[in-house]
Amino acid sequence: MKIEFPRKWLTIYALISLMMIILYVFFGHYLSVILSEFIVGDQTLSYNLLTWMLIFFTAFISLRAIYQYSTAHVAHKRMEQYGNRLLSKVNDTTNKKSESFLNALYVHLEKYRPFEQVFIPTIVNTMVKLAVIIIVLFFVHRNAAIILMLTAPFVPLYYVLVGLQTRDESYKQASQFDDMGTLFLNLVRGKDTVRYTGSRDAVKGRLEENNEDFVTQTMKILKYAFQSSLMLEFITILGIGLVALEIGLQIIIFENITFYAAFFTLLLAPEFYNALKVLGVEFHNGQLARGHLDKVNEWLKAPAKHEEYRTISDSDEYAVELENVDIGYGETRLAENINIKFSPRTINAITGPSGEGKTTLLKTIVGLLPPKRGEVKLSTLDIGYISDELYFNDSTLFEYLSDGGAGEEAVLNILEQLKLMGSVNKLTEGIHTPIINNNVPFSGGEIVRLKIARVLLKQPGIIVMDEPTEFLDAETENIVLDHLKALKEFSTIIAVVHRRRLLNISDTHYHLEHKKLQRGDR
Amino acid sequence: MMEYLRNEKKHVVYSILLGVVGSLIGISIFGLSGYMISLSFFEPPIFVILLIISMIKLFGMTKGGLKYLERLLSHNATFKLISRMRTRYFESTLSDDRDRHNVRFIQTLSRHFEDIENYYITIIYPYVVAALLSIVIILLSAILNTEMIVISLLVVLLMLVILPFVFSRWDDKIDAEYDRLDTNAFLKTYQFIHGFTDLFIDGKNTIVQSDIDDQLKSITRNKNRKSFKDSMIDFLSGMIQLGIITAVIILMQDDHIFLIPMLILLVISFFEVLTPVVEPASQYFNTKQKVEQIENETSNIESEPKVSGAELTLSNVSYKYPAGAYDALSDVSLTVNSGEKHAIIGSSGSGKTTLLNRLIEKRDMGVMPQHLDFYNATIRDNLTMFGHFKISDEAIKSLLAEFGLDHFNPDDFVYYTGQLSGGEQKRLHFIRMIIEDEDWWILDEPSAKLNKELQEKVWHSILNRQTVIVSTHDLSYIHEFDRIHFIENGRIIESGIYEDLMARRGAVHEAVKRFRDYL
Repeated sequence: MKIEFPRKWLTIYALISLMMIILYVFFGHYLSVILSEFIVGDQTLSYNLLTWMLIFFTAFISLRAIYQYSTAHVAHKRMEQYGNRLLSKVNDTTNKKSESFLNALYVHLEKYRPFEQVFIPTIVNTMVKLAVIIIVLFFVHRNAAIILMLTAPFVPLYYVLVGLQTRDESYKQASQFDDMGTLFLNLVRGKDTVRYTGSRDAVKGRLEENNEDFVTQTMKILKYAFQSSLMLEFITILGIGLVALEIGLQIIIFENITFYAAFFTLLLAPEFYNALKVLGVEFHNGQLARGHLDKVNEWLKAPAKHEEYRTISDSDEYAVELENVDIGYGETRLAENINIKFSPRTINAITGPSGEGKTTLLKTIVGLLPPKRGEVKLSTLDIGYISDELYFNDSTLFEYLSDGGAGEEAVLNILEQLKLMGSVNKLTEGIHTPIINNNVPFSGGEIVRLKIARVLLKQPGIIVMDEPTEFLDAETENIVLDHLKALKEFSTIIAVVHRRRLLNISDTHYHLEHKKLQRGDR
Repeated sequence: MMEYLRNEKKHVVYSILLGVVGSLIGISIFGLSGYMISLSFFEPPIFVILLIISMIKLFGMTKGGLKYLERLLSHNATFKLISRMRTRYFESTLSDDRDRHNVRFIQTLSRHFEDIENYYITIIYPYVVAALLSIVIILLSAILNTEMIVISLLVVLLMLVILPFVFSRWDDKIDAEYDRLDTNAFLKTYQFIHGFTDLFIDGKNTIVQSDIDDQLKSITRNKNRKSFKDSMIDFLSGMIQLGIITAVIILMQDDHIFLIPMLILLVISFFEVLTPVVEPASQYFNTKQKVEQIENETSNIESEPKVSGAELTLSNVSYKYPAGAYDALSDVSLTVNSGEKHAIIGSSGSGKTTLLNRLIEKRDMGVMPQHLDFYNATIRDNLTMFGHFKISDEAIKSLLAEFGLDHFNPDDFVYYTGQLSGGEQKRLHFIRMIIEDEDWWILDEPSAKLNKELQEKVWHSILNRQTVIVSTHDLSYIHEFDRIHFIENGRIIESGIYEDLMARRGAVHEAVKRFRDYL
């Protein structure tokens, strides 16, 4: 858990706060003078003084509003930067933990926001306020300042003790959300199984128990918070009472305090204790927020993205060359000492048992995963990719297929060729139907055909294909076989292959097993 | 709200009363201290001063205590209300057909329940307390003169009615915009994560990323607008406060000079109760709408009776998903008799799962759905559905061992997200079905994500059952089924027994041939 809030901002916050409190002190000064004239002076209202009072108070509340807005502005900007940093951590493996990522960005970051928007500015402002009030009171009425100084330390002390207890609890609450911890959300999500198993009553019983636990737990945390407010209220009242008593005695017995000093003191003393109270409430909120920041930081810890590691080879002899390449994740090496050269306009098949690194090898070629060792040389970085997975949001089929290149006629032509027009015509606006949130149920086979359509239009120099492990419909499979030959006209194809039919049309065959990539026998 | 009042009536009334009395006392403290200094300069008997000071202290203590009780009561009452709403909401989801597996839906649901909490704790309670307190203040100001009544009425009207109302329009707009921006950014991020490999190879990942960055920027702008609104509220409240202080000085300078210090301290203290209410109150209508939405959703609780006959029939069923562009099933007919084993095959996206879901609705069966559900609870609770099925721990342990899951104990706690691998989920759910022990089983891809050995084990258990319906890509045991149905584009294009279908050399024959082609 680390909060890196720039010192620069803290200093600026403190300076604005100082200005703001000085303005308030001047307001209090003029108000006290006005009242002093009334009660013990000549009992007339000086409009000159009243104007000054109005000016200072207006200046004070204006500055207060500006402070509130500008500190929030800084916080919002910083949250945006946190969001940018989170996004830069997305890679091809994030989809396995997508829920945790989405929660970090859209739940935890949002719950951390108040920490920088409210907590930090309030703390700075309050600290300055406490200091200024004490200093001013030293000049106005020293005894009061001493009373404030003696009673004040009890408050932070109490909060630190309580805060330590709430920290763990709040962290637990934050991590619970990430795991969909509240059983309620969990059950709503998994309600189908409850229904299928007819276990409604048992589950409802457990949910009710869990709800009771939740109330008890939350109330326990809140009790700490409320108890501390109660303590604070007592300390406050003790402080104000002492100040009032002291002033009362000064007036009556010693008769050595002016009305001005008495009123001014009674105006500032409650401000002082209010500030302490705010500090307390915010302390609790702050603790809650930090648990959420931890969840964000877990993602930010991930290493930075790698640089481009592939080189463009200058020889026309090979389209793809791997020299002494080791591949793998982290410490694990999936395959070692790979040396392959794929000639231009060939179909190259890779086979092997699952989990031995076939897909990892493809990732290394397309630039997603740097090799542990060795060199990857390509004739071009313009690569096409064929698989049975595709996620659409906020674009049309036409935009996806043409990618700013081909015209409408060419796109329709290819779709016709790949027997996709039947599915496309079912869409309300054909190829121009906006697709939001992947809301079009293309079958796995249709997605493969869409991807083939795309590479046919774009004609990339290298095509990488991950043959689906599930069987495709007969139509798609025939289309794939037919068109791979067509793609060979302009491109070098590297395919992870699961079926013999595809293997049969390939020019070369490699087999990946036991960390070795070897020429296969087909 | 009505039911809420009925159920937690006492707590609510007590806490509001405590709130009013507490605030009133708080304000009196200030008033008394102001009165005291004015008095002091006119040489009153010392015991009067001491009396006032001790009253201040006493009041202060009482106020603290009251406030403590008030907050405990109001929070407790609200949380109990929320608990009850949760249970009812959950029950209502059991009788609807919507798919609830969406991350966004769960995030939004959680946010809405937080809204309900805020609705009561930061809007309703403080507002009611402030309003009641205002009535008392207005009544008290009648003691002084009519000007004071007018001023206090005006202030209350401004702070509790006009300001919140004016700002609520603005707030609604900002909030609606936020919902829109946040949802857009979420969807875009979802695509970015799930389409990353495609986007990267295409060289489009940076474009999409900066697209989302732009959306985050729009959210920042929206947040800034909200902060600006809050600052405006704060500024205007301050101006109103200044207005009333000035008015008190000017209006009271002739008749009640003596009371001015007290009144000013009273005003400052009164505003400490009023100011924090304005901003939440401006969210009242907006939040209320969201709360009602949740309350409405919980209103339809009914349970549908299912039959458990010896035969299950679908005749000429077509089905379209609410947001879907075309029929996921068209004109499908299927009859399953007790004692039969049916396999449904076809390529992905052809409608197998949709067909299965239509069958599940019709009869009580042991079900392995496409989305496997696990809950934040112990393995035991997950397997027995929180004690709904009765089974000993020993039996659970031996089942776990049988499926290569002996690294789990019945007491182990599992979390839904991420902790269980796909294969573990499959096996745990399979054990759940064995414990449930229904006569009929219906399963969606039971052997996917398992290794060879476990696949065989699972197929053996399935084929030992009396009546089964399975949708699968794994055709290793296809010849063991009594009936095979081939589905394509939402239609059953071939149905029959294995030998006949193989002899026909149609779609099933083709599929089996291609399955055997697998390396």
